[in-house]
Amino acid sequence: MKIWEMTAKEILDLVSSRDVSAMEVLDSCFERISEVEPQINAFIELMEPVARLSAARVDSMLDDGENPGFLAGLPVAIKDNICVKGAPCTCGSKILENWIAPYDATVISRLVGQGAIIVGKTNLDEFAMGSSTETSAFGVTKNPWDLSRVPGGSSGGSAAAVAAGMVPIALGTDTGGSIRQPASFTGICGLKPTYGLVSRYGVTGFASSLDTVGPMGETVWDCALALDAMAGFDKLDPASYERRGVSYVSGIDREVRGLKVGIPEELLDGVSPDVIDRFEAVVDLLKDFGVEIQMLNIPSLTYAIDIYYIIAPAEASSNLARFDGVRFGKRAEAETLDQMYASSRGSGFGKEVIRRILIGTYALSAGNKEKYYVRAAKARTMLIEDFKKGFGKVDLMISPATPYAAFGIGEKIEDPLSMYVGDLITIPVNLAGLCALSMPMGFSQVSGTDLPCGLQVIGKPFDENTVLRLGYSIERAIEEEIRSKMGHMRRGLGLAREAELVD
Amino acid sequence: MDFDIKKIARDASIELPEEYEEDIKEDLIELFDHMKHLLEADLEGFLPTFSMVEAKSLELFEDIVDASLSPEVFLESAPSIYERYFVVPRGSQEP
Repeated sequence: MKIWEMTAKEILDLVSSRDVSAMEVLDSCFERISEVEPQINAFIELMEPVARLSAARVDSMLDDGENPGFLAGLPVAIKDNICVKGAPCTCGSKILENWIAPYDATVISRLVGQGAIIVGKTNLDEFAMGSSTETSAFGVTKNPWDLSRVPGGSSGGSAAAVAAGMVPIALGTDTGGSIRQPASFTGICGLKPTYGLVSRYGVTGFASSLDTVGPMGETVWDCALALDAMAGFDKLDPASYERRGVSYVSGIDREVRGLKVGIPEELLDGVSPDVIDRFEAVVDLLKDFGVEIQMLNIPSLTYAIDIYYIIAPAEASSNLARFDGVRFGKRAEAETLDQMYASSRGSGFGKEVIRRILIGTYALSAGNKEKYYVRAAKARTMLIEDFKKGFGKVDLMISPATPYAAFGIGEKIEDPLSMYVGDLITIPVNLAGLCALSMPMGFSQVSGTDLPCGLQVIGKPFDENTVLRLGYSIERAIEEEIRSKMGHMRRGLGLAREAELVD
Repeated sequence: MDFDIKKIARDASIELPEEYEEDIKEDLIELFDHMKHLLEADLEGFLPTFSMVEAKSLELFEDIVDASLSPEVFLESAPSIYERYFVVPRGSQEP
């Protein structure tokens, strides 16, 4: 097995035992990137020279008997809406094409502080607005399982980079499902932490009452370890919570017998039959584990899409007001200040971002604010209360992570409402401030190709430990099938590239 | 339902590319039509949720000087500066 094929846990074990160096890990990682990135387009920027300096520093510390941290030598990719000092931070937008971040986001300093090596910035839907990476100004990312399909979004570059074996861990952001949906489409794990658990300082704001940052990796354990490094209070994020002494890895292997798990019926509406088949197989597995399953009703889930597509664009229209050509980013030449604002924004933002800003502007305008925005905020309270009632009966909830497997490039981009409705299963978790894990639960056969489909495990606020524990128990039962198919897909990608080079 | 899409764009300080106008207008009609369901919901007794947290960082901190980046670092990213100021075109209301 090559190093790039290993999970984060396997790599860290090898580095800590000094069987391989951090530099050898990085060599393998960049070898894999050069092999498959031309097909995938997962990265907007690669940071090889800086990464090599970091790997050399980790090796030197290990040589001197010092401890570089519990992520020593682990290559990590970063979604390009998270600031890494000295690197471009485009947010997938032309308006920030040449902007270099002057500081590290808190999540970056925490990962690097534990010895992680940042290898590059990954592609995303522009300003994280989209579910496919098709709205990126830097081209679409391809799904490694089928290059004619999207990897999901908006953290599609991070998901594809992990799935294709380019990095063991990547960071994503999740405002309405942007970690969980691409994780599901690419057969990896992604954790959306509870709102407030992980600092957003240095992360470009989209919808501030919904935005979260989380890890994406091949396994549940890998995500738990990355969360151990990322979580914790940060006074630089006004929504940050104090959580001391919590480890997400420890206790992850405790048995799940006796846990009560609910299935919200409304989250099964419109899910394709083959995804339902895989979901039912997981439910049977959990029953075998001694988990108590019960069906639930969360009636206000029927309003979730409407609530989200008022609140998120409203907050985005306010957050993105800062991109005006004055202090940073693209500036269009104009005679007057007002013309400069309008022209810089009109030419710098892409169509989907403009669409959402206009939705938000309309929903917040005089005469509409009470009718739409305040009403959506009240309905959000109703949804939160409904979830509280549901969690009064169960410890966790589960559902498919997406209603279907990855769709084709170009299939939905001209029909925004259909794209929005596809996020129905993930959006409520953000609206209610909960945590949720997306993890592979099997495969769906689409046009003769095996495409992964994901399970969503939803937890109460700050109950990531129980979410990860259930996910880990499922993973141990089905990982042989997942890893075998993942290995086959990854080898196929490498071979396809070799054939292309020979031609 | 109809939308004055040019007015909304003006409110948002966006010069709307002509080729987007019709598409975005139709999308707004479709999306806000979908909202009818929400407009009919019985929300009596629910207060609005605008924020998810009563966060610790909103509490008062000790009043001490903390390290921060120098203004020069941010001026470096600006499209146009004069000494330590951002330079912009004249305001539209000027004579």
